[in-house]
Amino acid sequence: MGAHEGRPSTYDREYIQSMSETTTTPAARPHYDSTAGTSMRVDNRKLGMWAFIGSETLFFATLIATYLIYAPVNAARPDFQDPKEFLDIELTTVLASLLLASSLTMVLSLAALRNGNRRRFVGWLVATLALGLGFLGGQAYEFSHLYHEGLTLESSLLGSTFFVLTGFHGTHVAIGLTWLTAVLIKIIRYPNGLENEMDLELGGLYWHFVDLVWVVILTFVYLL
Amino acid sequence: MATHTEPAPAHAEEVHASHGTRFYWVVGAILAVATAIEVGTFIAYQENMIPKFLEAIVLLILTFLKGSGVVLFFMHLQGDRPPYWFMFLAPLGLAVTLVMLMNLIVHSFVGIAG
Repeated sequence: MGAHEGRPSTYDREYIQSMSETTTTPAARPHYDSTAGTSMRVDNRKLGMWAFIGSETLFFATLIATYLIYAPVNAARPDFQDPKEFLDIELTTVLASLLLASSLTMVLSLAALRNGNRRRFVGWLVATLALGLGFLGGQAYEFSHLYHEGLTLESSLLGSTFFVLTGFHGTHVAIGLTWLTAVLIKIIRYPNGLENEMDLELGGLYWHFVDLVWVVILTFVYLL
Repeated sequence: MATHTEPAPAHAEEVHASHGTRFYWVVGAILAVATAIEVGTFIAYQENMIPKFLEAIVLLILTFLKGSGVVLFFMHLQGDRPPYWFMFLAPLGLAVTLVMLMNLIVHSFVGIAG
């Protein structure tokens, strides 16, 4: 990869080697100021990520609002289906625990990378992926179970709003797993890349947001 | 845009002190306990041990605390620069207002779906 906007490429072996040689301690790693040239002294990619998270917040807010608004409408219709009869709190608790645990392992992975501990970084990130896969598997099981019980996309307003909301969340989880897998492969492939921490942090922001959405869905859809 | 060729000083803008791993474990444990309390509150309401409004208040407070914990400590917003705060809190405020307004306006209008 060539240089970008006057900055040396972080994949440039000569650049990385020269940065490594400027350090005086084995534990210190080369670092460059990613905020250089910006007016607010913030990293553009991180700011963009937070902006994206802001837009996703509004996206999920509309889906949650739709679910909440249609709840009494569902109750008044002849095809009424009571969510309390279909939604299983035990499975949901397990799913919420898996996602919360994956959020913890994600931040531990980032901390390990920042501390230069590659083995722990890989271990915690793989744990994050495994927990995320477990969540997706549990959600797939829940969906199939609900379909067998008669709650479908077309069966009632509950079915429509529930599956659209949780289906979109599940899609976001799947995208997050793909993203983190790509980050894992990239960091393993280029262990000295100067962008590694930022790459993992950006992926981690997305993953934590996905967990945050489930925290809200758990309350408004399953508990209240 | 200026060409950048020198390594950053030791404390560049984007390098903020991370918490130790023990701190993250403590936050994780608190989130787990909060989730357990949420489920317990739900079960208590199902068993008619507490009224609906109390269940709602407890669940909303715990959701807020859990969300804050994830955003502040796991997403490292705590100690981050103001532009990041704005990028998240502005849409969040809009989202919360949207949900509350929509529910207030149409909460009892059952004819909305035709």
